[in-house]
Amino acid sequence: MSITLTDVSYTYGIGTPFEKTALRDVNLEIRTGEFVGIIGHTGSGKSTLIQHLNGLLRPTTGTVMVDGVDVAQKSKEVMAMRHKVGMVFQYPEHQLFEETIAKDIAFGPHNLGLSEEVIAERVKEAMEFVGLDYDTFAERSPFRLSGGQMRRVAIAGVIAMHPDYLILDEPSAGLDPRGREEIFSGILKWHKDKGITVILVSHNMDDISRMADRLIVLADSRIILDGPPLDIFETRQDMLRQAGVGVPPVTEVLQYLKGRGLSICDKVRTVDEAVQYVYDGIRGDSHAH
Amino acid sequence: MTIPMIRLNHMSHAYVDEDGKQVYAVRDISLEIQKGEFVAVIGTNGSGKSTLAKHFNVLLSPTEGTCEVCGMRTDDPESVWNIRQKVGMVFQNPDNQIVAAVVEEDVAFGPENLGVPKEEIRRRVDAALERVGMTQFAHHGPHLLSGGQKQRIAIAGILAMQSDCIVLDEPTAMLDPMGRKEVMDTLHQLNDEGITIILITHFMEEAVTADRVVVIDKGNLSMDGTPKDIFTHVRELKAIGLDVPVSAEIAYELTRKGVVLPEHIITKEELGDALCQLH
Repeated sequence: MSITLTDVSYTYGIGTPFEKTALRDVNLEIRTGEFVGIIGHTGSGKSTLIQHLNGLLRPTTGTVMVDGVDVAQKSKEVMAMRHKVGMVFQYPEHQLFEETIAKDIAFGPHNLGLSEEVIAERVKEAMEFVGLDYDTFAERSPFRLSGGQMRRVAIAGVIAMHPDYLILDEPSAGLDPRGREEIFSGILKWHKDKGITVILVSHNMDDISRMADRLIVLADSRIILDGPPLDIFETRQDMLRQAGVGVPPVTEVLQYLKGRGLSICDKVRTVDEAVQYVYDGIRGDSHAH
Repeated sequence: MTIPMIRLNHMSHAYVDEDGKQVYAVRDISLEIQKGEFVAVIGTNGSGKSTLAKHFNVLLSPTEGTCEVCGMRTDDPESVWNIRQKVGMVFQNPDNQIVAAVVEEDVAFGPENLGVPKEEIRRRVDAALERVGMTQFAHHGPHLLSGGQKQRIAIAGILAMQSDCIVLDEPTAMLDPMGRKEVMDTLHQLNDEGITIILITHFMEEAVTADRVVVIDKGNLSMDGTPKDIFTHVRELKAIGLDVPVSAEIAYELTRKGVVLPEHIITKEELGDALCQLH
């Protein structure tokens, strides 16, 4: 099972003065169970790309297949496919609208035509997923919550649809470390336990290097890099810089130290690892002297 | 003694929650910010840092204590317009604060409302766009700009009001790394020209570049000092739920492992210097 893009290009406003090609010749296969990070500067085509993954946009040329279904077709299979691909947009808290948190989360499952019992079960499960206590929050208004909590409600609404593929566009923007942790811990757990595929668009390189096992870099409407994040951060700094994106802060520090002549491994995911590498590096050095 | 840009005297802001209980968003804060300072305000989501900042140009008024801007009390209705001209605000989402369809008209919006004569507006708009490096985009539609460029337009709008102080509430949260750098470079350049900058941010790499860092925790002023003072308190900041700059954290953890390093390491350059001197 996979999402497969073959020779996909997309042009906005064809035939108008604002015609602009946002994707060019994209070939990409995202397989079930992957955790894919997508980075690129503003305007590089990230949003256009992810909107193709569940048929919100149809390619100008080329094809997008989700589990073998062509998203450009209009059929029952395409509707079913849309339910498999859950999309959490930027600032999803702006999309909340119901009177209570439970009702807001139940909106999607209702549209699936599920029974009341199943819906209630899914709402509970989704709230647990994002770390909101059911008894405390279910009957509260979503509009009286903090920004971080509202965002978790919005994510719960997508989770309650039981997607096979979960696409998140900048889910941690504006959140502190604890807020980021609250958002990502449930997602990582589902990814590990249920094999759900996660596609994460983010400017936060830390989040990408901590969680993703594959990194896709977009620049000027094309995929310019596709591979394991640590390899890309280690060997393709020049291309990343040209693309207007950077390496994670922890990688940047270790690369700088390496540049100062310290023998340190700079293939690093976390600050804890970095501390160990620097410690090993300086101990190794002092032994050599 | 010169009058401070901002002076808070035991200022609190309380509101009444759903259950009729009084809740303090900020509590008993006393603080002075001098003209020309570059102050970073950090704190977790819900710590009260945005509420605090909204007092600086009278979007909120204290429920207890006082807030003064250039010696003018914000609870004096006569002063409100003068204060708002002194202190401009930039918010997180650039798309929510652009009002006009052409860049230079957007920058002119503030001075137009002040009743500034036409020729003077022209002069101010040109100067403001020049200062944020956006002159070449004067006739563009704002929707065609990047996030970093939009924030620089918002800043130009404040400069055109001839404000002395800019308060920014997470201006870079939605921007890519390039956009963040553009905004930070612009802020530092304006600060060099004498503009007071108050920057609320979640990015510790940005806070490190300020003259002074103020930490807000659960509505209280919890720390106030230079970045070096603040960011070497790694354990305390983590306990509050904040990040610290990577170099500061590595230095702190190495020290705990018994490596002897100088105190107050917060940048990669300082960490590099210290490690190279180990042998």
